[in-house]
Amino acid sequence: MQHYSDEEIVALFKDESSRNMALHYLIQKYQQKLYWHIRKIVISHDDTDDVLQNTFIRIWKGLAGFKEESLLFTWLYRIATNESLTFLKRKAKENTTSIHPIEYQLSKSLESDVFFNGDEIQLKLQKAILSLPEKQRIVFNMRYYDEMPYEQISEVLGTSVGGLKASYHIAAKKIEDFLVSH
Amino acid sequence: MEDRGNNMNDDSNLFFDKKRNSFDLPINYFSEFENRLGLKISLNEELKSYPMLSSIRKENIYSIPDNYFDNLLQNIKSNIHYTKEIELSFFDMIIKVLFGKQVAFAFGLFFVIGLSIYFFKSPKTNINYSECKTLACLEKNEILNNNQFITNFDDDELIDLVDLQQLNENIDVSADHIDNSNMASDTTEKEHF
Repeated sequence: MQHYSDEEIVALFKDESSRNMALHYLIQKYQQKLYWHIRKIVISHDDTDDVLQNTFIRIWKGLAGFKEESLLFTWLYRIATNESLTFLKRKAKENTTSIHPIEYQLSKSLESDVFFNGDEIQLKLQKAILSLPEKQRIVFNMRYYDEMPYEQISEVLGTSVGGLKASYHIAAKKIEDFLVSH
Repeated sequence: MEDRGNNMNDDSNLFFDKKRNSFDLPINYFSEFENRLGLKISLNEELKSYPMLSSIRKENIYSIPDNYFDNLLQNIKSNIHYTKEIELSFFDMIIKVLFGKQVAFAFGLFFVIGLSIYFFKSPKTNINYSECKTLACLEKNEILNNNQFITNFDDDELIDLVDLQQLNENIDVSADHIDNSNMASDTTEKEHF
């Protein structure tokens, strides 16, 4: 498959005649990255599938007006993060029967998830990550798993680099404590 | 020597033409390599303070259904197509509502009601009756204020509305005028004879 740069994809998308082709390249290029980013936030595969499709629909609607002030990659991540957080909030609102917070419910669903292949220590790590507050959890995932530079995370989440570094270290410390104590 | 050098150049071109690199690389792979290496080192440095966490192997612990990404593209495309259809049908619905027969009828009805309310509530000319000195003025006012009013007047009421003093003065003036003209005609007749 031909490789297109982000700038080329955006230029193709802005031309109405090549819009479908641009969408095709965009999905091919970013579907996996965005899938795994969303999956780490919403955990279940089915939910991830819903959120990912909504994310691409939003991208489709907004890409023609994309001003290229930020990188396409960070813009896509921002949309995916917002969609995931909106989904979790909606899910928490809908599930009025449970007295537990959404993080606890996610942790429980992980144990019964057929698409979870981790061993005991991996499950413990995931539970530790899910015990973090929402923002810290996203920062930790983006740094630890996606290995993103702080500058990029800062563009996605709109937080200062200093704040992100502090947030990541607090999250890592909490996870370490969780792993030692459990 | 020159010939030999030329031959060597020809040979090397031939060599590269025949053994062209058939592998592909991601865009900017080498230009970004240094940055990626630096990032990897700093990530490892950060985790040194957390021995338990750094001892866990980083691996993808989630799986996905078979051929999920193969079908995803088509699913997203059909979803986008469906969204566009919904948006279009929503737009059509608005057009139908805006330009439909019912709306045209309702608009007409509101227009008529609005016009009626406007004329019903428009300020009426209030005339002070005491300022009205003549019957002509009264008639005009009555027409403006109430058409039925004048038709209900009897003779006495009409007389009450007449300014008698003015009328008498007018009668006196006209009587004097008649007398004077009679006198004048008498003298002219006498002069004739």
